[in-house]
Amino acid sequence: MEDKEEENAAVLALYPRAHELPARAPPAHETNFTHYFALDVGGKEFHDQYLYRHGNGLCVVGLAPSHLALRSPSKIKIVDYDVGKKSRADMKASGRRKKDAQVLEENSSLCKVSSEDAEFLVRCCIRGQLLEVNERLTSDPSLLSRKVPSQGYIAILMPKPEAWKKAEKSLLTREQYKQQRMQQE
Amino acid sequence: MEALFREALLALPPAPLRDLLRAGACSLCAMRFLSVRGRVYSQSVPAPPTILAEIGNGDGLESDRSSASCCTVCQGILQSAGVGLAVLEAIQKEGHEFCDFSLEVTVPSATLVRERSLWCYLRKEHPEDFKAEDPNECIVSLKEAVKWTFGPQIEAALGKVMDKNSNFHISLVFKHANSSSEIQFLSDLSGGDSKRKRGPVEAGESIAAVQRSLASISSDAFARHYPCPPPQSDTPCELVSSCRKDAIFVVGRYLKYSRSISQSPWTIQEDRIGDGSVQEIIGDVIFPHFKADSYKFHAAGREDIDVRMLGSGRPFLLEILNARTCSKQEELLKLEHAINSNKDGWVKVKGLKEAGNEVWTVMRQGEADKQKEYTAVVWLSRPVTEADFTTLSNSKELEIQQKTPVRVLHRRSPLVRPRIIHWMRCEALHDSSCYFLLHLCTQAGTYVKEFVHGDLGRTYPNVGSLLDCDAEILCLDVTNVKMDFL
Repeated sequence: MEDKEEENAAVLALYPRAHELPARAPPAHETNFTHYFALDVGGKEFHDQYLYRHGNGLCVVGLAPSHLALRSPSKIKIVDYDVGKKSRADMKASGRRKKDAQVLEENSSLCKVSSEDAEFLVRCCIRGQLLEVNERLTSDPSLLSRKVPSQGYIAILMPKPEAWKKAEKSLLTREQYKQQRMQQE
Repeated sequence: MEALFREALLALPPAPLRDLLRAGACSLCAMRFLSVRGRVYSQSVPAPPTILAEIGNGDGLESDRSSASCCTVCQGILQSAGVGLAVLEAIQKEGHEFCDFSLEVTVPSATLVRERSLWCYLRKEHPEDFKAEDPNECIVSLKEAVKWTFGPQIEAALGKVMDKNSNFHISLVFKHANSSSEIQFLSDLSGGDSKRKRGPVEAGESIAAVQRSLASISSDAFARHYPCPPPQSDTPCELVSSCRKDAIFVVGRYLKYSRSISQSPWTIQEDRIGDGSVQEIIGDVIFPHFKADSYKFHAAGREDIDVRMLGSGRPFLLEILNARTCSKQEELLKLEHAINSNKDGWVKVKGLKEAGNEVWTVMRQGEADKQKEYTAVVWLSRPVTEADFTTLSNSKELEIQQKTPVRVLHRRSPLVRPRIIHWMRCEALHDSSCYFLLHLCTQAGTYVKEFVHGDLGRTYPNVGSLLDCDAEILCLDVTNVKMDFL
């Protein structure tokens, strides 16, 4: 019995003390991803999107906090992945090599976000294979505004290295984004 | 003439023996064709002319090849001199320590053809005595004869016993320059439908391929394309001997105290990630001790570079290839101590010992069934309460659905994997309002980090959803890998 207690005390000693802990733990979507931003996507003013790039090259796409849809008073009602010929939600990528994953272009549309009085088109911002869309948005569109940087993501894309190099040129870093958009605050 | 041989000689039918010797077979090959087995091969056996003188030369000599220098079947293999010494030299060059040995023999593919040829001749001359089409059913194989002939000689030279179960293998490879051209007619005959093998023994067909070709040819067809009895051979075979030891397994459990060490060396485009690897820290101490060619590191699962491995440790095994030295348990204990005394203290090892081939089954056992225990430092977006602790600890056998985490999605199938969190236990952390220690036990293959932070909501339920707030994981440790391990 005593051995177990000693073991427990030893284990606890391995863990940080309160004063060693940061006041706010950095969120996983900040530590594991580099944040980039695209302003005025599709030429439409304030259609701002984020693109979080993981160390492994995958890109998570979503609405940036400064997006018009998130700043208007009317709530987001619908997120629809059906953008014409096919619904993006119908795609099936299978296997390690992501067979049958659709390749989308930088300006391909991902989904339509509708509020009471307006409609917004969300675009890829990078050329790559579509791996996943966030179907939770179909049943709970409020996630888009409630959980902007994490659970409100729109889709996950897998670009090739060359595609990334090209897209990176027109994307903003977080610092640049803050400068450009925070001026409006 | 030695007694054992004389005894064997008397038992043999004289007419076939005479024909074999006059066709150019050496004494030992003649014995092979007449199904003689055993110790007599290693004795000093007289040359064909002597035997013929003994049993009578017979008449009707078209050609008598009995005084040729080289056997037409084995092409001098069974007459090789100094085999024991050649093997001794090969071993001394490598510097192997061993207790017993087994022999592996390779002969040129042309030997099979020559055997078939001599057999066809024998059947023609003595159809009542030799009925089978395939000589391999009746004659003693050349490889076996080599082991009988040279086994005792090698045992004497090395001072060790020959045992087919030995972990030390001595290889005798006999080569002949003309072998591939001699068997060329076979692939021409079968229309070249035999697959070209990559890197075969002698830039031609392998023994197995030749065997298959011969099995499919009738004796008549064979006799039309290849002389029966086989033609004389002027050059004897050459012997190349080598040796190797079976893999040795050193097993144990490791603990990892550093959050910047990966399990195996990790390089991204020529840059090393992390401060080192468990594999190198353990391997660098153990490997030099065995004077081996190389080693491979295997572990029962792995943890991320920033995750510590505590508790009883994770089972691992070091596969050491072609070790020159044998090890003793006391030496392994010293190696264990050496690893544990490393000034960095990043990796410790327990229970280091040698194991046999059973390690593979033990490592694989119930990989999917095993449960793992972890401790995580969790942060909540609002102060932690007792109610939170109760909620989590009341959760037993909780089933969660995990989409392939984004961090591995580039190299794994996009699937949803159901997993079970068997139990959870919380511990307050040193006067911190938003942090606590989460101890949990999960099914093998659960991504624990994703269970805490939710992975953009793709792992559900997650700690945040269970406590109705945002949760993040600051750090993670593996505290138990349950496995009965040697």
